[in-house]
Amino acid sequence: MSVSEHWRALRQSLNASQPRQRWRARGLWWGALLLGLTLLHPQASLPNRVYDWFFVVDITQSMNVQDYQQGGKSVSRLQVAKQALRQTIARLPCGSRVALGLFTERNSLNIVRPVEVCSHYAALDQTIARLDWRMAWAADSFIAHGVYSALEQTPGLGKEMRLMVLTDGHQAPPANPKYMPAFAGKAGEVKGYLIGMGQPTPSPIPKLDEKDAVAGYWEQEEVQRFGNFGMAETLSVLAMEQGQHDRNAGHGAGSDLLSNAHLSGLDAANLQRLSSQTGLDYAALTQPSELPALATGMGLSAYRWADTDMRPWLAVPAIVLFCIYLILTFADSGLWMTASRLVRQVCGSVKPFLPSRFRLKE
Amino acid sequence: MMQTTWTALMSWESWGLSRHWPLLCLPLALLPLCLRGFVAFAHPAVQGLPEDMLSIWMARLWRWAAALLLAALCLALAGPYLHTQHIEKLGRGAHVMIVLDRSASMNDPFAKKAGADPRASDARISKMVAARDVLKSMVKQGHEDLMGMVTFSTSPILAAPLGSDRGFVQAALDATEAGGMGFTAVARGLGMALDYFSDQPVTGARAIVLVSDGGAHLDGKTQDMLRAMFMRQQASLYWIYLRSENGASLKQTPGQEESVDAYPEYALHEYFQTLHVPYHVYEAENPQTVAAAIQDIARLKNKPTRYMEPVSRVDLSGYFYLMACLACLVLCVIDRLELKQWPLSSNN
Repeated sequence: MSVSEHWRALRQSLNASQPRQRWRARGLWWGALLLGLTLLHPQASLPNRVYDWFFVVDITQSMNVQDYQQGGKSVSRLQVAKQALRQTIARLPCGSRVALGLFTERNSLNIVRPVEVCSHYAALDQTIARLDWRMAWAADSFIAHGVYSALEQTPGLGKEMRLMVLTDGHQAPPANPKYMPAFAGKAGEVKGYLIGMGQPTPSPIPKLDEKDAVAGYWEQEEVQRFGNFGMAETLSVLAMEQGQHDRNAGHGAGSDLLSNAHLSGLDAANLQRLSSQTGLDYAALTQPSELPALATGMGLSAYRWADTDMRPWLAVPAIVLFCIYLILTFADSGLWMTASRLVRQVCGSVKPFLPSRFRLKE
Repeated sequence: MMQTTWTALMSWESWGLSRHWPLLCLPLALLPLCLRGFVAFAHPAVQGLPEDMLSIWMARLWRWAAALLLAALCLALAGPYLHTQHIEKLGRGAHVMIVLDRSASMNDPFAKKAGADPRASDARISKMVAARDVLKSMVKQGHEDLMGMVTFSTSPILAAPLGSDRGFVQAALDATEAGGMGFTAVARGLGMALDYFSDQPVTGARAIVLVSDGGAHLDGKTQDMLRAMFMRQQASLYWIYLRSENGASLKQTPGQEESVDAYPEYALHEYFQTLHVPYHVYEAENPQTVAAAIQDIARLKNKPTRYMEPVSRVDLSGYFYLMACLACLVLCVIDRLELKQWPLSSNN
């Protein structure tokens, strides 16, 4: 074969690769165009995965018990609840809506109607940071009433509103279980969480002064008592002689309900009972950082049209185009050979670390 | 500001990614570094050409630019952001704290103007509804003012912090639809509102707008404390008084034989006059008086003040997109310099 024939053959093979070259150039320039568009930060209204939450914080005095440890310091349940909520609102995707509520006595009071979490972040964050036990308008803590009232309000705040109640489940003063209300709604209608705050071991409840310093602790003597209002189950004289005092059980000596009523620990049993009645999930919070994951959990999201960043929609095709550009750059010189050499190199470098039975026989 | 951003960048905890799957594409960035080979040219002996240092460095630059481009794009897709940051804002206008009475007495009917038709459909709206209407119109106006709101019944509750976020104040106002409860602890409500000013230097007009029916009695000690707070914070007081249907007007002085204690709102009015700060009272009987109050407050001015406001997240993906663009620019320039066809390929 003469030199000129050789030359012609080479040129023919190159002509065959011309469309390849054209595609290579197209890959680069279209990719560059898409990338340039990302700098304009295009936005469009698309359905977004969001979370709507009605956060209700228990601000009764039992929440002042400092039974969390953070960096060697004791931190109160309320502090931890606030930290957890602030972390949560910082991690909720934009478009999510958050309403705030306070629980004390027998009511959950909605203080802020649902607001979008990103545009109102500063105000939400500061409002949560300023939540204070002094905002309590009464000192009782009837947690069942509070949860039910929050559940009643939740559907009114939005169609897909979830409820999260942060509480230690502490009932004060101790109440006659027979007089507790029953849940009137449908279990599971409102989704959400009961978040248990505090440690299961009971601790004394502090009395705080003007400057939030501990001025003393609630004593057993100070616990309000209750009567049973003639709800005696047996009317047997014998039982009464043997020490039964149903009628005044709340006042009587040795009443189980009263012996530890001045102490407060996480009442998981109470919250779990409420959870099974209302269909809310129960979770105990050991660290504030656990809450964001719960609040963005499966099955709690909603979809809503919201302004969405369109840059990823440009970037993904751009990546594909650049990969085409790259591959076509090297396609002439035997891409598959290059790839197989690459694989061999990688295997070679990994081989010494593999156990002997995985090694290929040479 | 820059310093806080940098310390935030350093600590691992303040980082976050919106999506994690794009990180799986990161190995793509190794492709341009690993692949070997050249575009084939119709030249009998490319190897015979002399080595050109410039070309070799261009080829290296091309490889690194391509790698950087892919890595930056993958990272940008992952959407990195910084948690809780503070951004600086410029505030003008007055600092206005609204103090809204939420006590049970606010559920009572509101006194209409004497001439109003009692058979009109809205003749008997509650004071709460009237107060909300007043405040909503106020929040809609005066867009330069910083506003916040405290509601109070037996205890004060912060509803909206002092800031430029009007939507939030609206949301807090809407939440008062649940109705009032408990007593009227005016002093504690005012105290909490005044507390809001204590963190900041006095840069101009500060106003407390009390919206209440004023059925409260303050004891001597509380009066002195509140007076001291008002003077320290140099805040003026605007009281939008919502008169009950059968309540007394503040314009009428109680008779000689009548005790002031029988008219708690009048006692409060007298006390406010002794505060040594500018004090204005408006009887919200008709929209005109309320409009006058709003105009007076809107007239308040302030020096521009810088303040920090927290934001939930600072998106960093923009920087990565920019980086990718710059890398892409390098690639495009090199592409233009590339030899697409051997110049000697013409018929010779």
